[in-house]
Formats: sequence, structure tokens, C-alpha cells
Amino acid sequence: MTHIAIADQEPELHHPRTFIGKYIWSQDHKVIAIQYACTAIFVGLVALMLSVVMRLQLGFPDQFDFINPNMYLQFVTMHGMIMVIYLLTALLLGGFGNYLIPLMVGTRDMVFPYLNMLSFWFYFLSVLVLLASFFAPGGPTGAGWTLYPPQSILEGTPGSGWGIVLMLASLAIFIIAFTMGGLNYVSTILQARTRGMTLMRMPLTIWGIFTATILGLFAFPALLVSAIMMLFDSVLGTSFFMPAIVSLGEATDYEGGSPILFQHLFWFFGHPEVYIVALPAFGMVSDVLSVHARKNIFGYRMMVWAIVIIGGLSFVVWAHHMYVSGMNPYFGFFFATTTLIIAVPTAIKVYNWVLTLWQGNIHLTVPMLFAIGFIFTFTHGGLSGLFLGNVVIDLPLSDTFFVVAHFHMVMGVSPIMVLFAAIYHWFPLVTGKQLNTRLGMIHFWGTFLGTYAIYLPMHYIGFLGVPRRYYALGDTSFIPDSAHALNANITIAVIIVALFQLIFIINLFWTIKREPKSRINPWDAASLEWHTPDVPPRHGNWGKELPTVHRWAYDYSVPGVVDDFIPQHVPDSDVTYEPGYDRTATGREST
Amino acid sequence: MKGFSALTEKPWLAMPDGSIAYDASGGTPPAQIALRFLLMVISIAFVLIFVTFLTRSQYPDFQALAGEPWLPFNQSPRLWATTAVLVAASAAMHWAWHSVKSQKPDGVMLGISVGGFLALVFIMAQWTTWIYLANLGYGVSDNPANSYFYLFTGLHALHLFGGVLAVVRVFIRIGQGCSIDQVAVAVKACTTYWHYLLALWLVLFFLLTRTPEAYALLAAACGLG
Amino acid sequence: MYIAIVIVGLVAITLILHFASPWWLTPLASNWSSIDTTIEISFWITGAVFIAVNLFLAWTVWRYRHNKNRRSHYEPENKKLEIWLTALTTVGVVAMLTPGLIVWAKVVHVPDDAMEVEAIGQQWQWTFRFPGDDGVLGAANARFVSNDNRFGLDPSDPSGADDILVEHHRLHLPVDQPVKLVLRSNDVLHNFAVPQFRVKMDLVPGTQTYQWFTPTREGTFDVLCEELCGLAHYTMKGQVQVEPEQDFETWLATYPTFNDVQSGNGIDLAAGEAGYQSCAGCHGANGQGNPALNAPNLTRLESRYMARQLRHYRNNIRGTAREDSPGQTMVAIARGIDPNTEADLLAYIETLDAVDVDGTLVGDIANGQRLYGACAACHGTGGEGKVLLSAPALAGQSDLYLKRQLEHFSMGWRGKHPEDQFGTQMRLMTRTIHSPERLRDLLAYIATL
Repeated sequence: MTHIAIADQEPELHHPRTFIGKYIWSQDHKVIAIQYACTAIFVGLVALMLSVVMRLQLGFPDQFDFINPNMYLQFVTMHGMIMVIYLLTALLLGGFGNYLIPLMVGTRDMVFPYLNMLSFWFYFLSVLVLLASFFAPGGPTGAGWTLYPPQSILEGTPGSGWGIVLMLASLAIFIIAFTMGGLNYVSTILQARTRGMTLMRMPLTIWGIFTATILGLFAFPALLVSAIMMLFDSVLGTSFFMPAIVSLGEATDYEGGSPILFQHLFWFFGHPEVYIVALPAFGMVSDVLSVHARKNIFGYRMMVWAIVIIGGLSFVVWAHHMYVSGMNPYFGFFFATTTLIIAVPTAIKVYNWVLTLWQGNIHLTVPMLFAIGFIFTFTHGGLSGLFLGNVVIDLPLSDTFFVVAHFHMVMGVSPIMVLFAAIYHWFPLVTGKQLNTRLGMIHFWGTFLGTYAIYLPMHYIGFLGVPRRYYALGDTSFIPDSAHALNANITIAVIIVALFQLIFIINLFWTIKREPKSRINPWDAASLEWHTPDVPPRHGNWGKELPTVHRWAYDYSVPGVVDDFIPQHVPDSDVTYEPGYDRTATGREST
Repeated sequence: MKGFSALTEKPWLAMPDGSIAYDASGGTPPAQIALRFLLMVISIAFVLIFVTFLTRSQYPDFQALAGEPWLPFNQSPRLWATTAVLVAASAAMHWAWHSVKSQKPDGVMLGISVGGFLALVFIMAQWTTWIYLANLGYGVSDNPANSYFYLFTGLHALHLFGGVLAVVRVFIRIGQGCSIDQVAVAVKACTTYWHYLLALWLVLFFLLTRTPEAYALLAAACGLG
Repeated sequence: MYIAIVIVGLVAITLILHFASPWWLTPLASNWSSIDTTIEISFWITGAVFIAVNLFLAWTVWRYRHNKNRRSHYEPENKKLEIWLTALTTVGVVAMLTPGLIVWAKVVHVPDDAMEVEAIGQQWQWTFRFPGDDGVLGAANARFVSNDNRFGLDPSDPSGADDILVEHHRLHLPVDQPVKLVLRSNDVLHNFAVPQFRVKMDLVPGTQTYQWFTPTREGTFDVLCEELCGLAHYTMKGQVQVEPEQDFETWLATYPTFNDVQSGNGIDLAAGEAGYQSCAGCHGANGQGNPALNAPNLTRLESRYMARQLRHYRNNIRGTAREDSPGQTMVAIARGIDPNTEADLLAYIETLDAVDVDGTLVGDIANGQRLYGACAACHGTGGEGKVLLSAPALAGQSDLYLKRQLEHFSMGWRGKHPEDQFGTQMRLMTRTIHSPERLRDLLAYIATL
């Protein structure tokens, strides 16, 4: 092969002329990103509604006649599945990944734009199939988002016919979509970076997205395989996961399979999935903190290594979701150890975020508030994970509301804090307008305080031993009435938080309609994506020539430099130093 | 990638202009990188099924398809024949790639046509194997060994079919007048993919036609007993 | 600015909630105090980190808030600080993990003197099995499950013959005796959890799992299924009663062995027919019931269900509510039935030809069908009832009788007694009916079955 320097090639982009070509069948990574984001936010809102309905039942049992046990389980299941896969994974990687990768590494588009477009449309199809299950006979599956067999494909569980088949089909389509997108992201980051953009000069956002994409590529096959095998069991009557059982009083033809095998496959996907969501969030929040504190990210190298180490370790901890599943109990020793080891790189990340703020010059903008809120919620959620990861503590706490509270803190609230931080941060780049600050502040306080009011008390309901996935508690001797009152309060907090999200939606429309154009690069960010010739960037991103990168993305408040930041593409010769400043003093000159 | 040394660089230190060679592409076209990742993804999926297969093979109800004279794959001339077809397909693709390197357009056309066609023949042959098995009474749900046979060969055939679609696309592009250089990367990718699927098939062939004793040994070796 | 104050405030609220909250682990009733200790240790360590990180965060945000005249300090990394923090974190993690693993080793190793008991889960009830005189639980498999062998014991395994079958949701255990609870499921995944015992484990069909504990406190504790097992998961509750050894022995002696259940006693249908004459007054000579006398149709009921109800009437479990006057009538009658011929009587009733009572209530049948979806899992799509699930037939039953019973369940006049496991479930299920109109729709649909 001869040397092909992709970034140097003349842009081979077909600029579409029609509306459909521009906005529907677009191959521009920025349009695809917005398509991904809008679809994901839409299903996310659906999932939010579902959670409100199930909270109504939990907080005020039997007060609402439109909720029944079937629906409750279906809503629990769909809420979880949509939030984890169709909202968070899609928005973080399909949305932000698509938008930011080419801009941040300095290329004109993804390396396979057509595949990128297909990726979105497969994702869209998977969402349609998912939503179709709401209208299928028997409704969507109610097997819990983990879809454990045997119950997920047996009578007695809602949606065990059409519901589960559509769910599995939708997941398979999603995985195909993700693989198409993921191959694009990885190849683009590895092969299409612009001149001077070494791996260690990439912003942490890219590191997070890159590692998460690799995790996704390697973890989703496990879900695909388990989905296909369960489809076989459900439709063709094979016994991969199905042992000889009686189903609601009727003998079945199944024989000899192992439900635990499914759980291993599921969690071999499921645990990395947590980091598929978390790592891009880690990356983005690092960049937001750095920009708004006017300070380089503290310990950049450690941050990169931590991301990579967490990514690697995430493949050897999966069975900590299965301590009480009936697997060989000796696995507990191994998985408890690996799980707690992950706490170390994760803690380092938290320290470095705080140390980035330390001695900074902190602008308390809306994105910064969300980022600080993230540090708080993530610390809380991460620490409660140390309980569940420690195998004996998991015995009393697993399958209780403690688990629900923990994973909502750590992979619900925390990534969503980052998502909001990122939306408020990059909105001026995407639209040229800054989201209304006053509405943004209201949105932040409502969301931050409201979610803590939901999940802090929920931990204590879990300590009490209240089980999750219960439609109603009934008469249970160990649950005091005060816990029921607490549940009602949590539900009220949920409704309030949900209403505050309306403010965000209003803000989006208000800003696009009414707000004036903002200054270009309003946060004075140094990373490459803010320095395109046009804002918002046009198809092809860069003008005639691709930018050349001369530094990392975090040159803020460099001693002796007049400006408080130096954009990545500015060469040293163009940097203005204070008169008489000794440039060798900082040691920045040596390699 | 220069491995770990690239990850220890201190990016805040200034580097004189020109000291950083343009290192992103490293000479490998992105299609190659994407294909490598795709093959890793496919491998992981199959390895995971292998793991469940070996685990499941140690359960009492599992009846291997070979090991006794009356079992369908104790002697498997049928599978050897399909293997031969796939080897030929792979060789044809290799010929196409060879012709790209020696700049012979006719050879490329011939190679990919024959390679694609033989892949389709292989898929048809697998189909007849399924019918043969089903007629013998080895239905998909009758025993986990059968289920795995259909699952494995089905997924393999599906992947091969995806490859055929890619070959058809190359074929059309050549028909539209693309030069050899323009399709070089695609032909190379198809060739790699064909070789990979041949290797995968050989592994499947080996794995699916073992005796119960061999499975016990394999499972024990993988710590899955 | 505010954010710094708010973070300090949230830390304070968190601490106040933690120390003042009435919601905490339920009082321990087993030997697993070491699990509670591990939780304590984790609390102190994680609590210290939580307070330290967040207070430092709040202070930093306040101290280094934006000031036009100041620039950020430039410091790409600080190896020494990072190494210190890493080392400290590692120490903390080791301090939590070590006790955890030590306790886990105990959880995994069952003591030799543990008494073996089996808990069997099926949708949505618990039953239990003791190994009997030989001390060995006989082999079992879901394939053997039938109406006559509800536990699924292998009839060809001799060690199963003396196994004691406890077909009741309450397990009695002697206090201070280590118990190895063998867990088995005949249908889907379940989980046996008693919050006061701390340990829990899934039941996995096709294989056996276990947990062990020593009950240390007398009392009655709720057993919850904590692995989603379908529609009525939330109603799948049992109880464990911990009591002195003596009481436990007495209790266990009241349950039959597998052998007893299999052999069955000779049934005398003639005696049953003679006994039935006193029932016929209300329930009719053909057992079809009489709505005017509030007497249900018996012809489609199955003897185990009837036996259970008679026991409930006799033992003040059913028919105790003042509002349930037909029930009170049955209490007196049930007490008058000779226990020695009850089996004959019920066997005779089972021989009666099935009679269907016509529906009398008018309602929206389509809506009723939707509502019936939740009932179908146990009572069958045709309302035929399922013996294995202890669910009586609904089809052919007098709709007025069904209406009264559903009302009684929803009001707590039936099924409130803790002994009445299925009544308790029905009380939870009837709450989903919500209104008299929906109840009428439901009954109108059942009448069409």
C-alpha cells in the first residue's frame, strides 16, 4: 500500500442541495449527530414519563386505576432499557461522539460518511421497533431490563410473546447501528487526526468517547449473542437458556439449559455498558471543568491512563451483578477484588477534577454548575458502589432499592448532569446561540436538588430491605409506615424534577427562536472544535486547509502569556508573551 | 500507533514545529482499521458462543453429532465438500487481490466474480445440509448440539452473505468504470474477509463434529467443565 | 457562590439523615452480625471520603471563584500529590475489601452441623421440604411435577420417600441451629430473602443453590421473593417462624412424608355421598349451588381447594369478619364435619358432573377481558383454574358469589389472616380492580368463559 494521508486529501464530500439531502439523508456528521440527539431526547422523554407513572404507583399505591401490575413491570422494563441504551448510549456516542470527533481531531467528516448515515437510520429503526412493542398484542416486555430467562419468554410475565421478540429484535438492530457508528469513530480517531494531533494532545472528551466506543464494540456482541440465542429459545423452542421447567402449571418441552449462562452473557455486556455511558461523560466533564475554571485539566496523563485502565478492568468485573444469582460462590472473591480495584482509578479521576478547580479562576456558568453538580452526585454514587461491589454487603442490599438508588446516582443522574453541562457548553457551537442563562440556572437547581431529594432517601429505603420491582408492598412486618410516607415524598420529588425538564425544553425552543447570536467561542475555549472558519461549522468543517495542531487542548492561563488561553492551532511564534518574560523558566520548552 | 510510549508523552511541553511527523494514518487506510475492528467484533461474538457451547456440551442432555457410527457427522463428506467450495472461494478472492497488485483488471473481475459465486454456492450447500439434518430427525430444538449447529452455521452464512453484498458493490463499481486503484482497498478488504470466514468455518467444522470425549477435554482445558 | 453553600448544606443534610433516620437495617435475627460490621466499616471510610471530597470541593469553588484580577495557577500535574492520593485510596479500598472477603469465606462454607432444609419456589408461592429420618433430600426435578407430585420428587429415589413435605408458606425453624437452606425452583428464577437474616440467594431452575444462616432470635419474619418472577412477583411472600426446638419438632410432625402423600388412603365414596346430604340443603343435590342462599357452585372446585377452605373456616382464618355472614355460617358447618370422612366427602363432590351457573351481571365484556389478563396467569385463560398454582376454577361459578368474594378480599374481610397465603395474594390483586364498574365488567367477562 502506498501512504495515504487521509487528512490531506481534497475533501471528497458531496454537498447536498435539497432539503432532504441536507437534513434527512445527510452524510454530514453534524446533521447525523443532531438527528441522533433529537431521537434520543425524544425517547428519553418517553422513558421519563414511564418513570413518573411507576413512581405514582410506588408513592401512592392503588390510587390510580390506569396502572396495573402488568403495566408497572412493562414500564419499569422499558424505562430502564430506553434510558440505558436508547438515550444514554445513543446520545453520548451517536450524538456527542458524532458531533465532536471530527471537529476535535481536525478532520472534515467521519471516514465513512455513508456508513455513518446508515448507522443513524438503523438506530432510528431500532427505536421504531421498540416503540412498536407498546402497540403489539400483550404490550412490551415486562421482564425487567435484564430480560432474564426463563421468565422473560414464559407466560406469566407481561409481553412474553410479541413484546420480548420485538425487544430482542430492536436490540439486535441497535447493535448493528452501534457497530457501524463505532467502526467509524474508532477509525476516524485513529486514522484521520490532523497534523500535530498526537494521541496525547486529544481532548479528554475524545479519549472518553474513543475508549467507550471500543468497549461498546467488544461488549455489544455479548448482548447480540444472548439476544439471538434467546430468540431461538423463544421462537424455535431450543433450550440454550431454558432448563426443564413447569410454566404456570403446564409442563414445557424445554430441557437442560442454563439461565445463569444468559446472565453471564448479559452482564459481560452489561457492565462495560456502564462505562460506555460513564467514560464519555468523564471526558466531557473534564473539558467543561477545564474551560470554565480557566485552568488545564489537572494530571492529564493520569486522566488518560485512568480512562484506559477503567475500560480494561470493566471487562473483568461483570459477575459482581451476579453475587446472589446462584453462580459458583467462589467467583465472589475474584469479582469483589477486581470491582474494588476499579475504585482506585475512578477515585483518581474525582480527585483530579476537584484539583482542576483548585487554584483556578472559576466562572460559575450553567455548564460549570452542572459539572460541579456532577462531581457531587458522582462521588455519592461511586461511594455507594463500594458497598455493592463488596460481595458480602451485596447480600442484604442486592435487589433492594439501595441498588436502584446507587445506579441512578452513578449512571442516571451523573451522566445526565454531564449531558446537560455538555449541551449548555456546546450549544453555541452547534447553533451559534447561547442557551438562556436564567432558564438554565432554574433548570440546574431544580434538577440537581430534585434528583438528590429522590435518591438520597431511596438508599435508606434500600437499607430497610424494601425490594425493587415490587408493584405494591402489601403487608410486610419490617417496613414501617414512615417508609411509605417517604416513598410518597420521593414521588413528589420525581414529578417536580420531571417538570423542571420542561424548562429545559422551553429553553431550547426559546433560545433558537428569540436569543440573539452569541459571540463566537463564548467560553474562550482552546480546543480545536471552537476554531472553525464558520460557526456553526459548515459541511466539511474546515476551510481550504485543515488546521495544524501545535499544542494540547488545555493551554489556559499559561504563565507569561498575555492571553489567558492559547488555541490549539496557534503556533508558538504567534503567541504574545509579556515583555521581559523568561520563557525557559517554566520548562515548557524542553521535551 | 507506537504503543505505550505514545501514551507517556507530556503534551503540555512545547514541541518544535516539524518534530511531530504526521502520524495519524501510519500508512494504513481507515478501511483496513475498520475491517480489523469488525473482525475483532465478529470474533468476540463467536468466541462467546463457543464458550456457551463448551459449557452447554457438558450438560447431561447434550448429544454430540459425532462419535457413534449412526450420528450424522461421524463421517462428514458433505461438510468436507462444502469446505472445499469455501477454500476455492477464498483462493479466487486471493487471485483477485493478486491481480490488483499486478494491475490486471480482468483478473480482478474474474477473481471477485468466482469468489462471490462460490460463496453463494457454499451458502446453498449449507442450506442443503440443514435440510439433510432436519430430514434425519435432527431438528433445531431436538437437542442443544443441533441447536448450536444451526446457530453457528446460520450466523456464519449470514456473515458470508454480507460479504457477498460487499463484493457485488465492488463489482458494480468496476462496471461503472472505476479504476483498479479506486477499488484496491475494497478488494483487499473482501479478500481478508473471505480468508477470515474460511478460517472461522474451519474452526466451526472442527468444533461441531467432535465426539463427547473431545468436548469434555476441550471444556476442561478452557476451565468450563 | 451559592453552589458552594449548597454543597456544604447537602453534606450536612446527608449526615443528619444518616444519623437521625429511622430507616436502617432491620434488627438482626441471625448469626450474620459480621455483615453488619462490614457495612459499618464501609460507612466510616466512604463517609470520610464523601465529606472530605465535597467540603474541599465547596471550599475550592468559593475560594477560587472568578476574579478578574487573578489568573489560574498553572500546574499540569503533580506526581507526588497524585501518588499520595492513589496510595491513600488503595489503603481505604483494602480496608473495606479485606473484612468483606473474610466474611464471604464464612458465607461460602456451610458448617458441618447445619440442618438441611429445602425451599422450593414456584410462581408465586413458597413450599418447603425436610429430609426426613434418613437425613437426605431425595432427588427432584421439574419433570416429575404433576398434580399428585407437586414438589417434583423423583419417585424412583428411595431417599425421597421419607422426605417431609410442607405445603405451606410458613417455614418453622429451631432457634440457634445452623440451617443450610437448599434452594430449588420448578419454573423461573426466584430469590429467597429474609431481611432480618441478611443473606439471600437466587433459586435457579435446573440447578440447586443454597444459603446458610443460624436464626438467633425467636419470632416470625417475612420471606420475600427478590428476583423478578413475573406478574405477581410482589405477592410471592412466605414466612419463617423461629421457635424453640420442642415447638419446631411438634410442628414438623404435623406434616406428611412423600410416601404418605403418594400412597393416599382408601376413599369411600358412599360415605362421602352420605356426608354430602347435609351440604345439599344449600349447595343443591347436584352441587350447583344456590345464589339465593349465597351458596357457591361446588361442581368445578377441586378437593384440595375445598379442603384448604374448610381448614380455614375451622381455624378462624376465613369467615371471621362480621360482614361475611355466609362465611360465619360455614364456620359452624366446617367445624361439624368429621375430619375422618372429609376426604371421602370432597372426593364425592369431585365426582359430581360439572354444572355451569349462568351469569346475571351486565357489564362491558371487552373491558372485562382486558382486566382478566392479570387473572389468567393463575386461573387460566379459560378460567378453568390450575391445581398446581392452587387457583380455583372461576368459569361456571356463580357471578354473585365471585362478586362477593372479590369485594371481601378488597375490603380485607377475607384473606387478611397471615395464614391465608393465597388470600393475601388475592387481596393485593383485587386492589387493581379499583371500581364497582370495573368489577362488574370483569365478572361479566368471566361469565362468558
